[in-house]
Amino acid sequence: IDPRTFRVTQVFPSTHWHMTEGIQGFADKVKEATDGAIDFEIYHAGQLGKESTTVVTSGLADMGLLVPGYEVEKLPLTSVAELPGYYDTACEGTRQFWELAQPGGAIYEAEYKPLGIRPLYVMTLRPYEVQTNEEIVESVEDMKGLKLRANGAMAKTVAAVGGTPVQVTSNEFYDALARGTVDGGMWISGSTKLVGLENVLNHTVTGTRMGAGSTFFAISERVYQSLDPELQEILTKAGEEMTMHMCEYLQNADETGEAELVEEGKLTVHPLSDEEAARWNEMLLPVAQQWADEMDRSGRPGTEILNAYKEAADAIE
Amino acid sequence: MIPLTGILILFAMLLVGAPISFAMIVAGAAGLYMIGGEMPMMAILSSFPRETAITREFITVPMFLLMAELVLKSGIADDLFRTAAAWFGRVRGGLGIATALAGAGFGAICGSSTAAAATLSSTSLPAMTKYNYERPMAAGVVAISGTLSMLIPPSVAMIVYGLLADVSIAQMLVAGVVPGMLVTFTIGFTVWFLAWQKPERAPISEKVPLREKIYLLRLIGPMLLLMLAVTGAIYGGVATPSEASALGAFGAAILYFARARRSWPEIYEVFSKAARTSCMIALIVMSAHVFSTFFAMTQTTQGLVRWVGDLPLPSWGVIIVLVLIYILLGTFLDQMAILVLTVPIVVPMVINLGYDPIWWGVIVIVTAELGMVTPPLGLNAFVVSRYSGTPVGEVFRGIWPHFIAHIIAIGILLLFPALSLWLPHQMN
Amino acid sequence: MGLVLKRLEQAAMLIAMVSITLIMLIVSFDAILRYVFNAPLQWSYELVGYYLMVVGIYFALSGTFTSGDHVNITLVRDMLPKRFLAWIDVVWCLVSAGIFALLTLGTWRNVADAWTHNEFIPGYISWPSWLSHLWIPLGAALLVVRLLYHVVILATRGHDDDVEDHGEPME
Ligand code: NA
Ligand code: NA
Repeated sequence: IDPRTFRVTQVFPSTHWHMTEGIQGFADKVKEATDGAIDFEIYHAGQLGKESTTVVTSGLADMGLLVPGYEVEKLPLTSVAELPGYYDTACEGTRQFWELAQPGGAIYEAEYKPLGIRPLYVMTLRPYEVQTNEEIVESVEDMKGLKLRANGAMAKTVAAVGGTPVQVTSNEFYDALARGTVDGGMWISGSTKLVGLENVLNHTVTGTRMGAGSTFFAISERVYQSLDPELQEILTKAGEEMTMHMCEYLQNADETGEAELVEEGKLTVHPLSDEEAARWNEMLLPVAQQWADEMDRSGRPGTEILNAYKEAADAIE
Repeated sequence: MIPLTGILILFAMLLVGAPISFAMIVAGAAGLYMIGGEMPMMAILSSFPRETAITREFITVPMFLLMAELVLKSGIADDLFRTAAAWFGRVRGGLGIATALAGAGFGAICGSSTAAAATLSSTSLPAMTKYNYERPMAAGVVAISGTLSMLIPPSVAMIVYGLLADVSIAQMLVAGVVPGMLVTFTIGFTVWFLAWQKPERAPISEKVPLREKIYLLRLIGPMLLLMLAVTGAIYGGVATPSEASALGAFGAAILYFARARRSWPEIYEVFSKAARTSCMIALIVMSAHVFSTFFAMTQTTQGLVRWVGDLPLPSWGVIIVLVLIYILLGTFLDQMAILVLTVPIVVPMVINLGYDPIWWGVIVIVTAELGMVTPPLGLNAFVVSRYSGTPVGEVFRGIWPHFIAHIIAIGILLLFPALSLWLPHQMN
Repeated sequence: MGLVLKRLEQAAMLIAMVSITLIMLIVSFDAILRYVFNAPLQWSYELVGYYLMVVGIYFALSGTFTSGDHVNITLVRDMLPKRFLAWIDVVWCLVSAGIFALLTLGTWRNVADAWTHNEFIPGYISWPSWLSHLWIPLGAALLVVRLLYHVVILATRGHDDDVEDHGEPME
């Protein structure tokens, strides 16, 4: 294999788990499989641009970590994984997303292929929970009028169960919570300590299927096609291993994080009863159809993607 | 070789007086072309303009600029000095101390150093002349007090630093509060010391009746309220910086229109000045981003950071060297130029050495301020000289003691990071 | 030509000013509504961030150049003879016009892409994306025209009374 260095872009700080656990893990696998012939030059914190899709498709970087939630303009269909109601764990979500995102899958054909990008590994986070500072949510009635951080498509999910969605950037979330600008947000416990929110998020509701976000690591198709078939295979294989690894890592980190917070008295869990959870899911049901209709109206195969997604979900259950 | 060519283009354009933003975007684009050809250059040129404009925190720039224009044009800012003078006129060096306090007050509504120096020149200088202050003494305190507006929130310089260094704008703004008080105190103390040493320098002014004093306080009440509300809202939890800045501008607009009937040309001037200045700053931030991306892609930034980290110098030694470089840069470069040229490269170094980027921001701003009053380019000195008819040499002579006091203040801020960091850390 | 350009610049500046005024009103109003009535505006975030800020910045671009408000360093400039300076200005204005022309082209492609792919901005309301991109190439194109016109005037007359010298740095 000819030695070369891939230029990689990502928007998180170099200490973020997306980097240390994800991209670094991928890079190590590839380096090892190629006896060091392949190297990576990684640009952190959006140094090459905040919109990683553009950075990769324009050739500024060869590969990049794409966060569809940050660039919905370019990757609208990927937000299907944000829809509520289709999975309980990170690995379930990841598997059904991978079904659609891998070369040949429905989202790949409709969204990634036209852009000229090829996903190497993907991950879906554990579903968001409604987490709050002071207000306690035990039934859907308690959601009424709660100001919750919900960015992008998640806004509709929050509105569907009666909450008031508020757009808050991740930099502003702590302040917004501490000051009561928002009462809480769609959140997962694994991230709480990472960003220091343990004193302003004190209650969480479990048992809901609120959906989460997907992130994936992709290579420019043009670059991929220019590679030696042997190297292509190494990249693909390393990617598959990473997909398996990341969802387990995420699920684990999140469960451990939540248990730790509970043990330290920093978080109280309010599990919904089965009947109550069913009421929530009933109210969340229209969100997916609304999403598909909106995509259809904008000339995208929304219904088709949603059906494929449901199918994948059924197959996994 | 490529990084060197980029720097050469940059400096050639800067030297002949092209706008800083034009110089950076041309040098950055040319550099990107040299590295990777047309594709990366076009990618950056077409994506950065919008990324800059839609950055949430950038809203604070036009809003704070608008607020400052409105308050300055409302005339209420002039009353600030009269009030401070009435209350402090009987103290040794009282009018000078009042100038420092008025400077801090302007600082709390206005983010522009030169605008503050100009306003102070037109109000406090005539008053000091009337009471036979020595000219260098009077001009010096006016010029140095103007610099407070960069430090005390709101400060566009702080926001630009925050945007370039990628740190919280709210914390950055709040970090300037305590150092701003320290520098105000330093100026006041220096004036008092000079007057104590040689009382002819600053004769005491006549007594103002208490009733008059209270009337003046009531006059500036609304403005004090506005500036406390804005900083208080950011610190104490009522609003994000963007919201606080918009509410500040809104409050200033009410003050502005309530105090007098306004003509359309004046209203146009106020709003267009805010629009032009924020456009200038947006373009500078965007172009700096283009240039620093080019620099990062040549791996020069990373190389420099590593090189400095490996220097056989203790990390505080590096910090001292950097501060000296900033003082030097300040003597011939505009502070906005200093920020955009250095922050993207120096901040990673400072973080790598284990220091807090917010603390460092305060240091950079205080140090760059010094350049506003030192020859050859001390802009505030020129403004004061022009407004007052004092020769520039005399102004610089009056600034000299303040320069020394300022260096001591910087030393204190370097030694005690808590002075800058305590307040922003309380926000968490 | 000069007059048409001036009027265009003034019109664009006026629109930028209106945008900034609207930002002030909408953001204030949104904050007040949220604190007092617990009912934030669902459309303010996108309208302000993706549209009004873009208009406010890029429609002011050319007018800001003409009024000499883009900061520069005057140290050496003040020492050079005026005629020589005019020729130097011709050079950097031409180079800058070239780069801003590329920027116009690139950002215009973004408009076209957003239009053909029917891109939209996420949020409670799905706003069209191309309308957020559009103002950048328009504002930048005006600056390119201004720079080229400035070059022509400088080259033929040696001085351009329409453009203020960038000699008075502000903040
Ligand atoms: Na907690
Ligand atoms: Na200020």
